[in-house]
Amino acid sequence: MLGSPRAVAVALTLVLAVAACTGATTTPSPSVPASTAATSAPSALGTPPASATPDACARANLKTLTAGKLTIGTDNPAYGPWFAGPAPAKSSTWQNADPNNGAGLEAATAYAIADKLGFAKADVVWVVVPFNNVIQPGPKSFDLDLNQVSWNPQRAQQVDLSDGYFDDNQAVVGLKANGIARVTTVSGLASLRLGTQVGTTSYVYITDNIRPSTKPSVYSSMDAAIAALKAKQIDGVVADLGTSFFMRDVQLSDGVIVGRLPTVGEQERFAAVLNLGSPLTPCVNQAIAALKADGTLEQIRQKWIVSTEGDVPELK
Amino acid sequence: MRLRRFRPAGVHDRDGGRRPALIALSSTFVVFGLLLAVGLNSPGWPLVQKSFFNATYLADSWPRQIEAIGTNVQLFLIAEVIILPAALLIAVLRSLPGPAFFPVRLLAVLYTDFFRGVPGVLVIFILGFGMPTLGLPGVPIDPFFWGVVSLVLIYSAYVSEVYRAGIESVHPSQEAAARSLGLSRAQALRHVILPQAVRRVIPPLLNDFIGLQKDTALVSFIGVVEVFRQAQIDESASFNFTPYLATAALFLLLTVPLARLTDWLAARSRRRQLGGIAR
Repeated sequence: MLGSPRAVAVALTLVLAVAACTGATTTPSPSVPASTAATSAPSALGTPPASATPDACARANLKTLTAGKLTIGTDNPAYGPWFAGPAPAKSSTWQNADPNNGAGLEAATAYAIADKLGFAKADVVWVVVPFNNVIQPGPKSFDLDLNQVSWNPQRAQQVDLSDGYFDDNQAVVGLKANGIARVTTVSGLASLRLGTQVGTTSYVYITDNIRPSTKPSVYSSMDAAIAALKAKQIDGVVADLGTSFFMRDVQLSDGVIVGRLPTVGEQERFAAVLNLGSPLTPCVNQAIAALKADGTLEQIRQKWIVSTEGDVPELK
Repeated sequence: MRLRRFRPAGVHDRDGGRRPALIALSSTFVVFGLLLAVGLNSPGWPLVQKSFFNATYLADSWPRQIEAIGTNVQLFLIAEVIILPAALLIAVLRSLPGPAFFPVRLLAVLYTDFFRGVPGVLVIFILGFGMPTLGLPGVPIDPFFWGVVSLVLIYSAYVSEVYRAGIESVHPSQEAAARSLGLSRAQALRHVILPQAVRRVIPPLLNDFIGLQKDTALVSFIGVVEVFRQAQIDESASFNFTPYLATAALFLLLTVPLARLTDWLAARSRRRQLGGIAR
C-alpha cells in the first residue's frame, strides 16, 4: 500500500534532479552579464589612442568587459588613504568615499592606469566588489580591481595579479595607555596578544615573523579586531601601514601606531587583480611600469600617504 | 504492471523476487552516474577540481583542521551541558499555573522570544565585544567564555520550547491521576509528567544539538580560531577552497552519526508506543 506512492515520489525526484543538472550546464554564469558588452557601442572616436602604432594595448584593441569602458572594482565602504575626498551623497552607492572623484592613493592610481591605457576619466566605471569575491575563481564583474590586495605566489595562481603599484609595510596599532605603546622591537611584541583580519598578509607576518607565544586572534574584519582591541582582548592589531593610519586617526580616539614592521623577504606590494589569463594584464603592467618610470606613482604616494599621514618609526 | 514496493538494494520482496532490489540498484547507478557525468563533463570542472577538490591543499590543511575542530567540540559540549538543565528550568517556569506565577511566566516568554528572535551572530558580537569593553572588575574578557555564554542563551531559548511542547503533549489526565494518588504538584511534575515529556522530545533535542554544533562556527566572529576560521585562514593563504570541504566533512562526521541516532531513537519510540497498543 505504501509502495506505489513512494516509488512515484522517488521517480519524480530523479527526474527533477536530472532536469536540474542538465539545466545548470546550459545556463551561463550570472556573474557576468552577457548583455552589457552589447549595450554600449565602442567609441574609439572620443579619445584617440596614445600611440598610432598598432599594438595589443592600444585602446581600440583592448577587450574590456564593457566595450569602450574600463570597469574597476573595489570594496564598499572604500576608505582613506586609498580612497579619499568629500563624503558621498546619501543617495550614493558609496558609503565612505566615492572612488569616482579620483582622490586617494588607489583612486588616483586607478585613473592614472586608465589614462595610460587610453581611457578618459568619464570612461572609467567603478563597481562594488567585496574583498572575498575578488579572489574567487571564475568570471569577474570587473576588468581590474584595486583593493589593497598584496601580491603573493599562491594568489597569483587563482587570479592575475599585476605588478605592484604601492610598496607596503606591516605596522602594529595599539592603545596609548597600554604597555605595547612603549615597545620598540619586533621581539618585544612576541609576548603580547596580537590580532588581525583573516586572509591578510598581516596574519602571515604574525605567524611567520613575530611568532607570538599566544596564538593570534583572527577576525572577519579589521573593524572586529579594533573592537577586540577596545575590549582589551588583544594588545595590538597588525595591519598594513595605510590601514593603520585609518585605525589611528578614525577608528580609535586613543590609538597609536607602535611602529612599522621591517620587510622580511620580498617587498610587500599591492597589485591590481584581473581575471586569470586576462589579455589586459600585460597592458596594465605596461601602464604601471610607465607610471613608475615617469614618477607618477611616487607623486601619488607623497600626496596621499606621506604628506597627509606623517612618518612612523620602524621597529628593530 | 503493478508498481512494486520500493526497497533498498539487497532486500527481497515478500514473494522472494529480486526484481525490486535490481531496480533500486540500477536506478541508483543511473542517477548517480548521470549526476557524476554532468558534473565531470561541465566546462568548468577542471577549475572546480583545482579549486575545491585539491589533494595537495587537503593534505596541507587537514592537521590544522583536526586541531581546530577541538575548539568547536569544547564549545558545544560545555554549552550543551548547561543548556539541557537551563532550558528545562525555563520550560517548567513557563508551564507554572496560577496568577501568582504570572511574572515568572512573562519573564520566560520574554526570554525565549528575545533569544529566538535575535540573530545568533549579533548576540555573540554584542556579548563578546560589549561585555569586556564595559571594563567591570571580575567580568571575564575571554572571547571563548562569551561564545559559550551566547550559545547557551540562544539555544536555551530554542530547547526550552522543545521541552514545553513535550510537557504540553502529556495529557492533563496524567497529572490529575497523579494528584488523586496523593502526589503534590511538584511530585507529579517530577515523577509523572517530565519523564514522559522528555522521552517524547529526545529526537528534536538531538536536532537542536546538531544545530548547536554547527553554530559554534559563529564564535569565530569574536576572534576564536575554530575550524571554520582555520579553513578561512588556509583558504586565504592559497586562494584555494579545498579546506572548506575538509571542514564540511568534519562537521558531517560529527553530525551524521547523531542524525542516525535520532532516527533510531524515533523509530524505537514509535515501536514502543505501538507495542503498548493491542498487537
